Amino acid sequence: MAEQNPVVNGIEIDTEKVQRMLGKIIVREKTNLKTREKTDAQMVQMIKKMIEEEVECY
Amino acid sequence: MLLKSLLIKDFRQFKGRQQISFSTDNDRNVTIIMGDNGTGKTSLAQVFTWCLYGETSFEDKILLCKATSASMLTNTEETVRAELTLEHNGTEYTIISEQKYRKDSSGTIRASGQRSFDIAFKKPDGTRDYVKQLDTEIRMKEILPKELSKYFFFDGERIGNMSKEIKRGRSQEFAGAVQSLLGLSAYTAALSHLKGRGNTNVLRVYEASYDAKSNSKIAEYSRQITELSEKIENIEARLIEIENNKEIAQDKCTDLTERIAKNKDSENLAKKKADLIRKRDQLKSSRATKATSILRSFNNNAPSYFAKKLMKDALQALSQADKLDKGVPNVNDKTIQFLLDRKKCICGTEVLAGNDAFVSLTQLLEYIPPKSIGNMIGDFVNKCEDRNRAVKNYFDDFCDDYKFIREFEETYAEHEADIRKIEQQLEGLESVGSLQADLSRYEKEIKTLDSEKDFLNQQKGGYITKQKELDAARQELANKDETNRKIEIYKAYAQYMYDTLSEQYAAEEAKMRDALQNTVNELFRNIYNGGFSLSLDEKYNIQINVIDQEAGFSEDVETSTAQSISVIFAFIAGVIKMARQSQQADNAMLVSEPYPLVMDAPLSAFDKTRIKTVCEVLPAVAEQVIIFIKDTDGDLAEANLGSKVGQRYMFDKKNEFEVYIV
Amino acid sequence: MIFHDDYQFRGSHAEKVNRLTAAFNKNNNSLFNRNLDVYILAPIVGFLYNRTAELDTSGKSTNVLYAAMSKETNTLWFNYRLIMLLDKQHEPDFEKRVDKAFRYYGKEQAKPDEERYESFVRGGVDVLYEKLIEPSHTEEDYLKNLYDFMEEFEERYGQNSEEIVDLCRLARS
Repeated sequence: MAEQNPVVNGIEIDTEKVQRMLGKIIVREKTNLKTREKTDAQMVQMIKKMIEEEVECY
Repeated sequence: MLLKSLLIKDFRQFKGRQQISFSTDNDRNVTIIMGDNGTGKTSLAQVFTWCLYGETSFEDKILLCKATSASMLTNTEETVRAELTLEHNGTEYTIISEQKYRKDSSGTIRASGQRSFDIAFKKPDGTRDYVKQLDTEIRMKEILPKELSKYFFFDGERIGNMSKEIKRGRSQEFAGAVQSLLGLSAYTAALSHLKGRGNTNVLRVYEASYDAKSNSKIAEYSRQITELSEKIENIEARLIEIENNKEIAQDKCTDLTERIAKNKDSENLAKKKADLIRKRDQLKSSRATKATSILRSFNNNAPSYFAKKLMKDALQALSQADKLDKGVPNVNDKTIQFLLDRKKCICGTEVLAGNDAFVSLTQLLEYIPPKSIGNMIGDFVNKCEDRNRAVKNYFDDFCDDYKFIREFEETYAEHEADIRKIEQQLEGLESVGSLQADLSRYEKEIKTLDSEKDFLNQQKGGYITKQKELDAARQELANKDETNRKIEIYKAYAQYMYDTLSEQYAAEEAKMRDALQNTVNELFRNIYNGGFSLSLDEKYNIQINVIDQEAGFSEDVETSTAQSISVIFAFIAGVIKMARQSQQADNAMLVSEPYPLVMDAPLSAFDKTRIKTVCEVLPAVAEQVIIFIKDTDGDLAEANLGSKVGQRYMFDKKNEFEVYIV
Repeated sequence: MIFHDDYQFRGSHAEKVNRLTAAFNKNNNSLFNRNLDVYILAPIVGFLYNRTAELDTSGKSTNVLYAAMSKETNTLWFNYRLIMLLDKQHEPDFEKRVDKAFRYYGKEQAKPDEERYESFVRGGVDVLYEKLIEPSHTEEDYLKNLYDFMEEFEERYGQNSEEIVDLCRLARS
């Protein structure tokens, strides 16, 4: 049974998508802490892309 | 983090190049370095902090080995170098610190330039590369933050300060360091990327990306919102500062209040003392006055007083000899001569040579002036009378006066004794006056900070409200536009992700902190079998509680040195243990890694049984134990740690300035 | 003539007199204010304790100035008379003692009497020094020893005040 989706600023949020994203983000952050490959700005971009993609997807 | 090897060159007593390889074996993870006091244990222990952070606590800041510098020619240079090779997060690093020294023309050794700091690391392909100079500090902070280093490079001599630090807490720094150590950094990184400070975060980027073309008002709102965000951020930063300062001031107030209470006595005592001194001085001056008057009286009265007996005897003799009443008033020799010459007495009797009258009159000559002494005797008698009267009560008065003085003396001595007693008590008590002044100052500071805080909060509130308004207005406009609507959605997601992650993080942290507290208490009980427990607060300050089973309440207990060490041990051991555990747990949320323990002679502070438990607990808890001990502790350590020792070294002291590690 | 000139304490007696008049505490208290005060009391004490002393010509001296003395001649003659009247050792005959006290004083023939008197002065200085200065080391000692000295005297020679009054009354009747 679908739970009531939380609403932020009048926009409904799909929590499944959020969990998926958070999981991926944490892993990427963990890696990045080791490799120091990406800068903060790059990480931010990465997260943005992730959100936009996830939102657009079905 | 695993320490692999240490290479030093001419660092203090250690002449030339010397190398230590640390035991990295899983089971035999203890490295023992043994030497008596004065052989250089503390020096070696401080190599680590110098190598990593450039810090030592030596008074003599010249680190160059004196044996080496002695043989230097003038105007030449020598270097002190330390290379610590370690493994962290799967990468092998070599931390290199180097300091040049120059012997100038007068033969003095001076540091030449600053210490150079490099971090080399092995790339996956096996080649070595260097971390960029600008990044070295950050990298070092990540490998082992300085705030935590003193818990891993354990200088046993600094226990006293450390236990105080634990009580007072390097609160936020410490918490932060612990968090990174326990691997919550991925969380914090993600959180800051989502909605951290500054402009490098998702939400801020979205804010800025509103398409202004569709509606210039949106751009205007966005700009204002950003501006407000900045203002809010500044306020928040300042609020944190205020909190910190408040804490510091609060701590000071607590400390001062304690001291004042303890020393309240000193105020009362001081008053009492002043009182007594006043009384005593009054006595002194009364006594002085009395003494002066006694002596004056003595000078005046003594001759007469001492003459009393003589006067009595003289008067007696005179009266017996019937000398006291001869002589006729106002009759002198001229009178008698006149009578003799006229041959007739006043009464009419004939005065003829040889007759009775003649004889009497002639005899009288002896007793009337100028020959008479009758008057003089009369005078003498009068004087006796006068003097006697004057000193009638002299002795009694003298006794009374003297009694006063005796009493003064006694009371004076009493006061003196009391004053001494109070002075003894006052010794070691501080002056309440100045404590009070400090306390007032800090209290005032807190008030000022509080009112600033209130003001800022109000401001912030205002800004936030305004922001919300603007945001709502913007939203409305944005929703009318496709692009901007999308941004709203992304923002919403980012916000929700941030909120969710925050919650998770806080929960994880609380869980982590709880687990840490339990682990620490377990270890603490193992090491120190007392009715004690530790508690950690959100700021990771430690409180020692007495578990009084009967009463069922807890009190903060002042810890002794050994106890402090146990506290610190337990805490570090707890942190390390948890770090290791989380490495093994399948919890991708946390990043952490085991750490070594480098300890400088802590065994000397424990009693024998404690050493045993410590030796059992440590290697089981830390990934790697590198321990400096005294020769005298060596046997104990061998006995208790023996099976776990992978490497052994000894200090070989050639002389004051030359030590070799063998 | 005695009491008509500066008087000099000499040698060991001068030293003792200096000690007797020296301040023994910070308040500037001293047992005797002036050398004259010692000079007044010493002969009585010397006579009572039957102590005489030879003149010590060695060493320093310390004076009693005539200027000071002249104000106390009454007392000085009084003391002289007392001693002359009672000094049986010096003159066993009472009549002669009376003469010494009241008739010959200050005259040439009084020379031996004056010398006798002076020897009592010196003896008295010795006694006072022995009783009051020698055993005193602290400030408190001085007053205590004075008290002891006075007490000893009071015990030994009793009251006498009443008898004196009676005798004086008798003398006037």
